[in-house]
Amino acid sequence: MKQIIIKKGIKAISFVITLLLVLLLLSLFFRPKESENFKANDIKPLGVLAEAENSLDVLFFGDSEAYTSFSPISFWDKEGFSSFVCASSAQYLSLTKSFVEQALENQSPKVVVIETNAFFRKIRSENSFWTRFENLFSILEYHNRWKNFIPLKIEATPYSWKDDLKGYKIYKMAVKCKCKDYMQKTDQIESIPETNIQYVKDIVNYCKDKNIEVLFVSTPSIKNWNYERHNAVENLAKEVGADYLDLNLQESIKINWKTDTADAGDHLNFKGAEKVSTFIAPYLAEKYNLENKKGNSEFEEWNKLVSKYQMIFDKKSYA
Amino acid sequence: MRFNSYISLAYLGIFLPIVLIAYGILPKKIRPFVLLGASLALFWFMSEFLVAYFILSTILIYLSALWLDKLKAKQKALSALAESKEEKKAIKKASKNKQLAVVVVCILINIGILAVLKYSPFFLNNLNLIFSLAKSDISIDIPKFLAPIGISFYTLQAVSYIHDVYKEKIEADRNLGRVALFMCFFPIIMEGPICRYSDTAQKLWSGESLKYRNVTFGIQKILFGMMKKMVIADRLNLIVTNIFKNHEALNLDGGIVALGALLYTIELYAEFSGTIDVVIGSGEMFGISIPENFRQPFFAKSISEFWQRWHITLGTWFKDYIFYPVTMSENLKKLTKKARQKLGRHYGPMPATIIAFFCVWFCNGLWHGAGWQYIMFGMYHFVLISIGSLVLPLSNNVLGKLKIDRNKLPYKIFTIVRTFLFVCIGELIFNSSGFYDSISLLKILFTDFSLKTLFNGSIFNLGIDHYDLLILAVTLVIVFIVSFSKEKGKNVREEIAAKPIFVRWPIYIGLIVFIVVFGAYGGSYAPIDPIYANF
Amino acid sequence: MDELIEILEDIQPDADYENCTTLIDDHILGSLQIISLVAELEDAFDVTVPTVEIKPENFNSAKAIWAMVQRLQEEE
Repeated sequence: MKQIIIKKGIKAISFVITLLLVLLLLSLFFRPKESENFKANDIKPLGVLAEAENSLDVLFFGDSEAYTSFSPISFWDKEGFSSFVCASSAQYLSLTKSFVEQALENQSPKVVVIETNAFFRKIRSENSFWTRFENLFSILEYHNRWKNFIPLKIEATPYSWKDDLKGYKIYKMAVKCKCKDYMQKTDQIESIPETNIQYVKDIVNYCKDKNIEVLFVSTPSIKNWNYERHNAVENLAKEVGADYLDLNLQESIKINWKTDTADAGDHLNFKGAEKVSTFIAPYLAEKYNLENKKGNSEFEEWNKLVSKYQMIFDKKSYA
Repeated sequence: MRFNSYISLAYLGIFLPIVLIAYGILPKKIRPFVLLGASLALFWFMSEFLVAYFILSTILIYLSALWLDKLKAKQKALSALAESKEEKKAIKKASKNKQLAVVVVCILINIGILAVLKYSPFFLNNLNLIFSLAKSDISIDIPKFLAPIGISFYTLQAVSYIHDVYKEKIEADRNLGRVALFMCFFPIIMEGPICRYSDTAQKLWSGESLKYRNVTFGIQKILFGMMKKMVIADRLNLIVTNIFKNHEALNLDGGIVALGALLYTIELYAEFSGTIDVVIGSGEMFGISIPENFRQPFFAKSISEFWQRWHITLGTWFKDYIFYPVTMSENLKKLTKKARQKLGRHYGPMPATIIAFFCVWFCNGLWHGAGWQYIMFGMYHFVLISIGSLVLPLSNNVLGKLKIDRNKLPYKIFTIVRTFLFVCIGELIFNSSGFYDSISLLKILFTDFSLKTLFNGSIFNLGIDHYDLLILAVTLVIVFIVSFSKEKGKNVREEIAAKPIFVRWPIYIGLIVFIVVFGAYGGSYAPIDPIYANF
Repeated sequence: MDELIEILEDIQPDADYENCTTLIDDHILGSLQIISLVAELEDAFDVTVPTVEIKPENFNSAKAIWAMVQRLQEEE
């Protein structure tokens, strides 16, 4: 009996060792030679690639806070400037950087707006146990590079899906949350991870080299924002020479946390986004001298989108 | 710890190994408590305080069953004393009425909790809609309830337990722990299968020792499930979500919508059956045989056969606890008798059957979710299955005249493809975002259909590339080969296990490497929530 | 017994009712056929088949069905 157990134990252990060896060996092949760009986990932000060259005045970047708060069609309706939101959920600044670089290949906006929530999303450090483990078994991280090994002869199809909402996502549901004074004034500063600061600097410098102004915006969110974060971003903005606007401190927006949030204070719904538009559209137009292009025949399509936007907006959904 | 899928590091890498080790080293008597403790812990990780609803349901059915037992014992004692046959009958009747009352109240409370937590917003919404259509000023505030995970699954198990005790198929269990473990054994909490007390309860509580063979076979089943979920379902998630959620904004045409329906059907199968493989594999490691939920559904030759192969435990639940009780109820039996005199032997049972089908499919639709699209999904199957049974004699006749043999391969393939297409349309309705959305998707499908967009490369803008298609095709072929062998009656796992080590190991290691390399996880893929867990 | 086989043949032809013991497990008799069958049985043998009796063990073979009918007749 005991012998059988030992025999089976040895068998099981040698199986695991063989498996690990195979994975280690494969990891050598899968580790990338140079840094390769990620692809987005969402196609909405890629819609920017289908926009006409140099047609956009403002580009927005960030995570889900950005795509639920900024609605380019509404901005157009109000002030007549064109914009696009290149945001994907839980975006890391590393991805933001590659988005900015991709988007600015074809566009030369007056201003680039970066939503600040992602500044606090930690990118894992180099020395943690998991990072070391992952470096050893790098196949887990780079497994998708098998696509580079198989030579399928395909011509890249030009990106052609236009997004009629220009990157904005409509959330119609409303889940109320307790109104609380989440912006209590303080001198405390929450620290922004060092790697993230570097990414922000890279992004800002990249834009400045192209003579594009950079504005940091903190969108209203009870769950994600507080005064400590406000202070941190304010300091960083000064340091890198970017403008900063904290919508959480703008009382004239009048977000009603009972009706204007889709998920109890995390994200705004369409009512909240509309309130943000009412405030930020004239703010941007004035501050950055954005021209009202509503009469411009090249932008006729945008006018049409406004009526379509209203339709989607008004349509009832019985979930 | 946040836990939302069986195919996750938290479950497969941490939870399951810990439970397995604890179960293995502790003495036999304690083992059932290890399983129960682990199950409740997992329930807690997923639903926190909502676990109270579960405990309430469990205690309720436990006590009701004991009460039934008492009533039955009393009846027996009394009727032993009874002198005449009439007296015995009267005692039996009185007791039966009491028992029925206990069962009905117990079931109503269980279903009631489910109805309030899951369905009240939906019903109140529709009520408000009616008020507003009637130009009335009444409007009810819609309360928001949180339901514990798996409530739709364990409620059905609770109903089956109390019903089976009442009908004397099983005896009331005096061990609360065993009833609780039957209700919430950790692999089945989230997505079923819906087990019967007679299937799993005794085995779960027996605390049998781990066996090397069980553990390895369980791991194999889990790996195969992981492959389906990670390589197929997660890879399809992005394009399917884009087609279904953004079809308005992206102006998609019928060709793409048809592709969406096809891919969603594949995704749902891969996700659901893959997770069930992991569930059954987990059970197998402890020597528990959890009933199969899938039997190669896409080989079905009719919609009703499809439902005998897809989510089997749900189908049999509805059959045993709705279909037969309805058709066998006294009124409908009378109806059948009358109808047989007028309509003949074949069509005689039809009226009663169609009434029962309606009940089954209405409940089936609603069970899947509080939304009109789910009710439409149910009604769609009701219509298809009813028509199917109505025209069966007719089509037999026609086929006979055309001299087409039902058992010949070309005809079989025709029926299999036909059934698959009907299933895809059903899933299109199922995955829409509501009544209007399902109508608009169907409208696009049937009025704006063109094959052009499928081949001009625009699908590659929807979140899938040529490589993904290639690997999807390869994996689907693997799944097809395994399914086909099973359909032919082969036991694939046994056959591999019988091979020598230098054949076996490369197969196992190959499968793991395949998942590691081709799984759609990490950076560029957003993980999906398990589709069935929300029902 | 012969009468039973005749009824079965009538409801669902082409099956070997004498020997087959997997009528339910192999889906030879579906739920529709069961409804027809129960109606026929109740008529032909003057019994009532309660819902509890509708389980695979009782319908998997002609023999099992026959045994059930006889049992129900005795209970009447």
